[in-house]
Amino acid sequence: MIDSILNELRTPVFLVNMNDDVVYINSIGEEFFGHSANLIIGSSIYNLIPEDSPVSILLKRVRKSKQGLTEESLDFSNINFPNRKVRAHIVPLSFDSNQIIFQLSELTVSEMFQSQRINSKISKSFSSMVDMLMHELKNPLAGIKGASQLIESDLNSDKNIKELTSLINIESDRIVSLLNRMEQINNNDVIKDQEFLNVHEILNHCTRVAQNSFGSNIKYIESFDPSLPHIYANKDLLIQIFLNLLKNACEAASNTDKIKIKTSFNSDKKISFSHEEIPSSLPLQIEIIDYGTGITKSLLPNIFDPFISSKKEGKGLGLSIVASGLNDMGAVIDVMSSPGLTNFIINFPLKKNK
Amino acid sequence: VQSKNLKNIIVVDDDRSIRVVISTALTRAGYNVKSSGTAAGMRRLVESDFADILITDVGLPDGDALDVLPKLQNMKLN
Repeated sequence: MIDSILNELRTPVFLVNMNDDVVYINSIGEEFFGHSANLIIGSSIYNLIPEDSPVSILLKRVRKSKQGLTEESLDFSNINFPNRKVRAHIVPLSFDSNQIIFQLSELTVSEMFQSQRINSKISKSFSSMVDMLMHELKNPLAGIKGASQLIESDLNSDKNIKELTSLINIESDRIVSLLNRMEQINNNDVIKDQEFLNVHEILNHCTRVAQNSFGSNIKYIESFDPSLPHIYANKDLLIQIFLNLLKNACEAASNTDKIKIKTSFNSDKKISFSHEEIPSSLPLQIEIIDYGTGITKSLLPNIFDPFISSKKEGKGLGLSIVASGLNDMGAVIDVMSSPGLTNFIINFPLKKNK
Repeated sequence: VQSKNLKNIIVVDDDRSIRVVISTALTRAGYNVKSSGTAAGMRRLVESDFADILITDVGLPDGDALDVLPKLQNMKLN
C-alpha cells in the first residue's frame, strides 16, 4: 500500500539506513538517478552523488538533531545529468531517527537563479571583479579615444586616416557602453525609486517604442487582465526589462511576425527562499510569448547567466540584466521554450497600495 | 613676447595615456603645458612658479592630490 503511494509521487523519494545505504527508492527516484531500484538498493548513497557533496554532513546533522531540514540547491549531478541541482527535504523517520528519508524536487530556472543569487559567494566576487574591471578599463579607453580624436582633428591627416580613427572612436564607444551595461548589472541602488505602476501602461509604452524601432514589422497581440493590481517596481528599470524581452522576442519572431503579451493573476505562483519558512506568493504575472524557433535546450538552464547568448553578435548581458533587475525588485522570471513557442514569464509579488 | 599671452598649465595624471592626450590637446590649443604623473612632480612644478592653471587627477601613486593642494595654496598659483 505505502509502496504504491510512494510510487505515485511525482518527486524522487528514497530512504537510507544508519550506514547511509539506500534501502528504498520510488520509481521516479529510479528515473532520477538513471538506475534501477535493484542496482540502487543496498548500495551506498555516496555512489549516487558527487564526491564533494555535503550530504554526509547533512545526514550527521539530521541524525544528531533528530529534526528534518531542507537544503536548497543541492548538487545531484552525475554523468547523465550534469549541472543538476535540486531542493532536498531530508527528514528522519519518526520511529527510527537513524533512517532518513530524502525527498527531492527539481528547481525551476528562476529558482536556480534565485538560489544562485542568494547563496553564491561567487556572484559577490564576480561583482567586485566587475567593479575593478570598470575602473581599470575606462582610463585606458579614454586615452585611446582621446588620442584617436587628436589624430582625427589634425588638419594634415588624410581621409584614409580619418576613416580609421573614426573606427577607433566607434569601437571604443562600444566597449564603454558594454562596460556601462555590466555596471548596471552590478548596481544594486536602482531599487530606491520604486512606485506603484500600472503595468499595462508600461507595456503599451514599450510596445509603442518597439513598433517605432526594432519591431516595426511585428504584430503585437495583447491579452491583458484589466483587473490586475498595480505592481511595485522601478519604472525605468521595468521599461528597460520589457524592452529587452520584446527585442529578443522580435528577433526570435522574425519569421512569424507576431508576439503575444499577456497579463494575469496567478495565485499558484509561489517561491520559497532558503531563509523563509513560508513560500512567497508572486501572483502578478506578465508573459511575453514569441512563436520563433525556440531556445536551444542546452542553453536553457543558463539563459539568465551573464555572457550566455544564442545570438551571433550577442554579448549575453540582456537577459542577465533582466533577471537581476527583476530579482532586485522582488520579482522572478522563468522561461519555457520549445520549437515554435517561447514564453518568458515574469511574476511580481502583490503589495498593498496604501 | 607672445608667450605672455599664453596660459601656462600643469597637467597631472598617473595614467600616461590620459596625461599625453590632455597635454597634446592643450598644446595644440596654444597653451604651454608641463606634466607629471606623481604628487611629488606636481609639487615641484607648482613650486617652479610656472603655471597659471593646474589640472590634476585626485588619486596619485605617491599620495592624494587633495592632501598636497592646501600646502601649495600659499604659492602663486592662480
